[in-house]
Amino acid sequence: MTASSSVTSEVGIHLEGITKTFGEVVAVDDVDIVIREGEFFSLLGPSGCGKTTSLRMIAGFEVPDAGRVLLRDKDVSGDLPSKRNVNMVFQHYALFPHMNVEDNVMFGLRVSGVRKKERVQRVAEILEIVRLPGFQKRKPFQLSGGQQQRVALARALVNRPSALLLDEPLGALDVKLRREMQLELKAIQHDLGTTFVYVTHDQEEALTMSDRIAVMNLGRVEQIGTPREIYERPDSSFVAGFIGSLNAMDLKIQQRQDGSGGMTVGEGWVIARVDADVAVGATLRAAVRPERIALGPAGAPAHPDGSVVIGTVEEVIYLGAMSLFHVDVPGLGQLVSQRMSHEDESAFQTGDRVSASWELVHTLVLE
Amino acid sequence: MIDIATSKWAKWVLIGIFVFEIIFLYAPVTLLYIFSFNEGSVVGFPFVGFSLDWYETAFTNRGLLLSIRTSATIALMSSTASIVVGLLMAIPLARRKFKAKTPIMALVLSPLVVPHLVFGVALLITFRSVDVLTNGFLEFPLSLPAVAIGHVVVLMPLIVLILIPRLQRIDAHLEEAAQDLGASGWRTFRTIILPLIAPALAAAYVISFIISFNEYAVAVFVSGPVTTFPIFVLAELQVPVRVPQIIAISVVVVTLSLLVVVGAEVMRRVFERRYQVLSQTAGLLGVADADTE
Repeated sequence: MTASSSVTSEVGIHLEGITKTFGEVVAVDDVDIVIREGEFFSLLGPSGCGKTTSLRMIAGFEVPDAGRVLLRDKDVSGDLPSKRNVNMVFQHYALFPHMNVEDNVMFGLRVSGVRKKERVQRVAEILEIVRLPGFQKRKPFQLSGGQQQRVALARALVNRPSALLLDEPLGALDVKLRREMQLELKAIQHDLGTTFVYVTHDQEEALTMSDRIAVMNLGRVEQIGTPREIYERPDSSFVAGFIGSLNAMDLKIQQRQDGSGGMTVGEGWVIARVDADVAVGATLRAAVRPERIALGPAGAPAHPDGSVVIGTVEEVIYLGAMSLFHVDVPGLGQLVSQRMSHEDESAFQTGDRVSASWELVHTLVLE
Repeated sequence: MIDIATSKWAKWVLIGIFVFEIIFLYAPVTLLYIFSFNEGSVVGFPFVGFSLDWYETAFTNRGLLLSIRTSATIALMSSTASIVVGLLMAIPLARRKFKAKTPIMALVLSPLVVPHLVFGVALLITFRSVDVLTNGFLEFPLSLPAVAIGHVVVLMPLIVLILIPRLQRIDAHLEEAAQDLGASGWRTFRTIILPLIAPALAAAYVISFIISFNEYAVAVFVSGPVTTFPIFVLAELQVPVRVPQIIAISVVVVTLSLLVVVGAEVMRRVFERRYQVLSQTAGLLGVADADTE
């Protein structure tokens, strides 16, 4: 997905070297993130990586031990949540159970003293946007999970916040509804042009919706970039492993040519783009995405400037549109190749001798 | 684990215990109702004849009516004070994390295990000492407020125990959501927390009122010249001819208590159906919440 047109060059949120510890545990460790105005920005990582704590520091529910939180260039590090012009969508929606949809949504407007007539009108408008028109008098318990999610979204957006913070908002929904809501959220963000900061552990969700993603691990930012950058040019083995699946391998540099280096594996070879300072004899950590590995009959001519190895198909896993081939390559280990099921090469069966090949650029050098 | 309720003989044992309990709980009360209408002045069979005379005697007994008014006043004072203090205690105990929580909880609940008689004596000594030490300056009389103070101590742990489970069940994110939307701490309490615990508050209030109204052991030590309803009843029971009218008034009190409790329960259900907050809660007045948590 391409960057949305709502992104500007202005800084919306700046986390400036923020650190937060809970007792002995360092939840967020010197994190520096600049989120642009109008951007759909995701904080992605496994549980305990510090993404939610970072989000809660933007909202004001946690105060950083060190560093500053800047909203539109204003230092808000010490401000109460009620004084910050950002609103949050909670994981389990946190709708007020004793209020109907209208009262829930207008809660913020009421607090800030907006007149009744305008309140009612703005609630109606925002319910239109989240596609719940006419739901004003319903109680939260009368709504489905997806509808409650929309109310939570409306309750935050109706205040026209400078940024909307979303803490795994789709986590409680089933897969099909989650996919629908992902696209819808993206559309709403695009239409309103509001900065969205989205916390998730679901890489597919982050890739689908985000303009940019910060991948976090153990309280630190591993990489910040567009979904394409993160997927195709991961900075670390953690990022490569967390986003998508991959075939990791040790690459011992036996031969060097300008800009590339490689090793022989049986009758084949693996080569990668390597930096000039990597000498013959060095060992690198490298990886290939399963969908990049093409299969062919053993002995067929290979890519002139790519990698090719020979192995035996050990297992074929049919997934509908795609199939996975587990290929045992002596001297390298097992490679997984993911092919579209309608392609010719998916005819290979267990026990077949095959060549597995991929282009030079698709050997990812991780560290 | 063996499930007692599904084993055949165990089921009959349980039913037996239940019937036994019901009989011993309600048979005496039923007898009270019967004898309150007995014309004879000796409480017991044979039933001489139907009469409302004892009710008339009771309701024209000035001392008795005064004692009821006294107890009602004390109950009103003590349950109002303890609901406020109890709520202020229960909120941090239920919803905040802090180090001294366990010892504070123990301190708050300890009146439950101190015998009321012992506490009554202690309270009496305390009031006397204050009086002596200040040379009577405070003129703190042993009377109505003294009993009310004693009852606040007795009631507070109960109120805290009723409120804590309810407070704990309120999702902490609701408070955060309110604050995120700009609400102050007070506004969050008023618009979110208070409405959600209103049924539990009402339940706690009714229960404390009834307990205070019937409390004898603490009251008897610190009431001084004031006569509360239980003190009056116990004194009157020493005089055999006055027993029937005491029975009559007891019937009235029991009936009123039942009506209040049932009324409160009905209101709680109506209220919660409207809010649909606590779908899984049954239990009389929400007290059973403590067991389900």
